[in-house]
Amino acid sequence: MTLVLLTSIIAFIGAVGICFVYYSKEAPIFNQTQADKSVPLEKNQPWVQLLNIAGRVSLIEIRLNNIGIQNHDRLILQIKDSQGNLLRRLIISGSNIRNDEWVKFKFDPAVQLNGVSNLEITATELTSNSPVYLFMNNQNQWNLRVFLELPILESFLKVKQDFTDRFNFDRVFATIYYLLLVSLIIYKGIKLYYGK
Amino acid sequence: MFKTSQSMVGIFTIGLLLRFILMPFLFHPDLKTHYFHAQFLQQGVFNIYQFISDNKRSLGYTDTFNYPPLTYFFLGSWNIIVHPILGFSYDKWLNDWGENWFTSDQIFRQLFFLKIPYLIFDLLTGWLIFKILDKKYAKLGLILWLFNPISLYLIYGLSNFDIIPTFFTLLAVYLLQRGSYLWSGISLSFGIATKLFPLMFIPLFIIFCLHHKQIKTCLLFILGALSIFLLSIAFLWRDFFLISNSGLVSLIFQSRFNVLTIQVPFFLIIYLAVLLVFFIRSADLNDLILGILAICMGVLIPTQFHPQWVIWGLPFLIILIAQRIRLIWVLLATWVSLILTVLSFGDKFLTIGIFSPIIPQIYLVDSTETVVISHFLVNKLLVLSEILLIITLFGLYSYRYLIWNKKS
Repeated sequence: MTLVLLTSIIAFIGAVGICFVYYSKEAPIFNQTQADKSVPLEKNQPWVQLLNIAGRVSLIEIRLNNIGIQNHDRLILQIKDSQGNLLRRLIISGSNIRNDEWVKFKFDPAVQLNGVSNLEITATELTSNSPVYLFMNNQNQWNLRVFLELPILESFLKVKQDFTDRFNFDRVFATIYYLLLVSLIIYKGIKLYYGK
Repeated sequence: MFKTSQSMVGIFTIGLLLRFILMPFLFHPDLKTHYFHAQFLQQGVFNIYQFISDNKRSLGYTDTFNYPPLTYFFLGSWNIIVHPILGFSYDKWLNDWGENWFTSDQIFRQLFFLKIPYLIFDLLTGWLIFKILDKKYAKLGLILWLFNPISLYLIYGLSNFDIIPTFFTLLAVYLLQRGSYLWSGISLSFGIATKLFPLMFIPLFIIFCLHHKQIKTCLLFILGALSIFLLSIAFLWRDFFLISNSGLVSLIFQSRFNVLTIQVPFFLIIYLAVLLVFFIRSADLNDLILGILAICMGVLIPTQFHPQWVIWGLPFLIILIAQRIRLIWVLLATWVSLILTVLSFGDKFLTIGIFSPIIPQIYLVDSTETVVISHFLVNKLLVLSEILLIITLFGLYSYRYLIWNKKS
């Protein structure tokens, strides 16, 4: 019984552990998915999105649309600091963008951002009649997700704090739940004591 | 006797504690979609199939309800019972299919209370395993059921109601063991009325009855087996069969191979072979249990099966393992096969996503493993899983008919 119980507990802890590892590699920090319109990326006309993030950015996802995968031109994604200095540049071909897709831009190693910075996307050529479209809301905020690379301990503490806050938010349930667990443990303890 | 029941209560207490710990913290979208449909019973909707079809445009979630009517009435009734406890936040969550559809302010409370029916059937299944097995094997059987990571993952992680028909199938076996043929049939009928798969076991039960009793008893079983099912679909059968869209039948007959000019479904071959072996051999209760298990595995072999289907055969496998611990490798093989299939889906909510109540942002995390697997390895994983299950099935039969009796 002990062996089977241990296997279950190890399996559960292992699974939660894997989640932490994933989370610490790519912890979501920004998520804007409201799409009110999509704008074409014209040649040499950059679209800029302001970011206010402090941390090591490991992944950015941008929602783009390459209708019928007709566009095979180069797109450049750049991150610049508030003074306009280039922090990182990634180049992607239109061939890698499909119809309405969250396109992943991975940064390896992660880019260190210290507050206000600019994300800039530009089409450097336009050989096809069909440009790539960028989704955004009415305030011209891109459909964008930003993920941070966190140290495991920091991510653990962050998740723990967030989880505790959310669990204790529903006080009535939290109280009943703790009572249930405690009564079961006491019951088992009493049985063990008198069993001996 | 007193000692046995004392130790059983002790095992149940730890099992219950483990389940209480898991229940509020694991989430799969199926739980929400099932209760999304079930909520309409409270609004007086009797024919859920027609209702969804008529209101598709205005519903937040538009998929059809793919299960027999009794499932709708059962989950709908539970929804009515727990509604006062879960309150307005629950209604909001059920009908929210926006950006944060997978979480809510009271997600822990909701998950805990919505899973209580599954908890009851899960514990009852453990109790049945305990009752079916000989005294010397019963405790091990109970432990294997209650502390089994597969059943915990399937019942509380994936949160599907498949444990309900599984329980009724096991109850049918138990009642058969006790000689209550009519009640055994009625129990199987309850199983069929919640999900159709126990229909596949009827021929096994009939052969078993024929081996042991007269035709009259066999007819009693069939009468029982169809009664509740037919009663439950009496008014809705047309809509259930026409509008709902269960993947089971199409999936199990999907994989075929050519015999001369005819395409024969792979599952049918396994199914007929199982029936034939069962018919030829002296059908005792372990043969029946092996037959049910083999049919369940037969469903899994040729398909990219839904992981929750593994629960159908699990109690039967545990009954066999409890009697012959060497068969524990079958449990491990099933575990590996389940993992391979789960990975082949590339569905976040089958893996890290089930922990979204603990870390809601995990829903957004780019789980590279699913991306890589979905593009390059799906077929290889499935073939591996199929080979493993075929070997396991042959191994089980070989053990049962070549080694089992020598050991006893």
